[in-house]
Amino acid sequence: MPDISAQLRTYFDATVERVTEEDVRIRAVTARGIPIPSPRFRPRPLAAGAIGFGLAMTLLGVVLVADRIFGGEVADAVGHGGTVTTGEPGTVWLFVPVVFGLGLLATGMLSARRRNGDVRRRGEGSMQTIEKVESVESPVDKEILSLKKRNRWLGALTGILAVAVVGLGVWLAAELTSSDGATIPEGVEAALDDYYMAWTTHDQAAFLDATTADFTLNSNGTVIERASQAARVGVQSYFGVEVLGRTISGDGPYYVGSAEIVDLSSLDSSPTYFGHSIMTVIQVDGSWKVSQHSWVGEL
Amino acid sequence: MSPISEPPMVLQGESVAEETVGNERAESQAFTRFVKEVEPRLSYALAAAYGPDVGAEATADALVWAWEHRDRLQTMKNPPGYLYRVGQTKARRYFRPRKLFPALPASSVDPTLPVLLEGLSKNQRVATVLIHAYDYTEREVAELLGISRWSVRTHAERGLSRLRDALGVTADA
Repeated sequence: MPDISAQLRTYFDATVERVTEEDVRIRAVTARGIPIPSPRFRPRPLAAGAIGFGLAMTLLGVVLVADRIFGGEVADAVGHGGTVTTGEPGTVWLFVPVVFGLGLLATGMLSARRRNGDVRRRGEGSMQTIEKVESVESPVDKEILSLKKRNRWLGALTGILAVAVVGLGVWLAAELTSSDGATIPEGVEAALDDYYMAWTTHDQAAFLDATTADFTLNSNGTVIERASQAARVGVQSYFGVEVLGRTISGDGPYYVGSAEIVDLSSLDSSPTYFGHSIMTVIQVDGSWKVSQHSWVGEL
Repeated sequence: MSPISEPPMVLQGESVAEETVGNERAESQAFTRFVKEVEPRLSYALAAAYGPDVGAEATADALVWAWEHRDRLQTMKNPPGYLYRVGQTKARRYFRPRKLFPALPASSVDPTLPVLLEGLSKNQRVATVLIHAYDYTEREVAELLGISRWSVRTHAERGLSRLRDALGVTADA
């Protein structure tokens, strides 16, 4: 084999089609054929679908992981108190959608970047031009134009799809990471704190103050009136409540769902009972009070 | 109007037309010289950068641009460098084949050379081809690429070194 310089020269002499001044003058006054744009990103239906779905999965996975990791802190931040664990941080399975989404995204992008050599073949008469006045539309031209047109729509569709998916992901992220408690008045939280404090400190007056006149407690189907329950609270010195987690919803009357552990360790050999409370908090004369309390649990 | 005054007017018009034709001819000759001087370097550079097919189209488009903007080109300090940039822009319009450098049928060229060329960076290819295959100076290549001579030297040396290593050649004969 000759040396590299000679090989390079031989190769380029054999492959490079030199441009003459005549070529330039002809090309300057005639149409230059049908320009086929060569975008770096040439979408294909499969690739576009893969990219869209991959983006969605990635966003969903990231949101899930973020929610699982930071969810507990968000609950604490709104002042619910207690130890709130909404999940198990570090669960490996959580990353499956992220990895799957990223893989699909990469596959789609690689597929989209593949060059489609069928659209335009080069090297044969590439310096020939089509004169404006004598240009005749051929079936090949129609095919190229239809491909071009279809690709343009596909590009637009991919753009819209990508924007929609990203928008959906952002919306989903905002929905999942936003704190519902952010719009809840502080008085509701304070009323709940006072209500639970009355239970745990066995303060009958505080219990009456934290509840409405028509307050009722539904304990596993047994309805107890306010006065009766206030009397019980005052004497239940063995009673303790630990709130595991709390969700507040609504925008006028607020509805509170609460997971709790009732501690009767001083009274019973079985120290704790697990259950759920559902409470309604309403505003009476400018202050928030608990109007209903339903308890469903082991006790 | 005196009839005597008409002949000089006609003569003046003819002389203007002759002058215009003469200017166009001079302009055309100047462009011919310009193409002869610039085209080889531009052709090989763009072919090395984008492959022979797209390179030829880009070169032709760049020279058409030069013809259409010849007045503007005359005032430039570095017309080849500017045309190389124009060629780069034009090259983006064309669909690039998956293999930039097609294999040659039975020839004295190593069959792996096209593949190896694709492994080099664009500037390495241009510098290596222009300097080592066509004996252009570092200054000419630097002018074309718009980079310093030291960068051109580095690109050419690295490109040649990588080709040598891959082909198992220690040094050119």
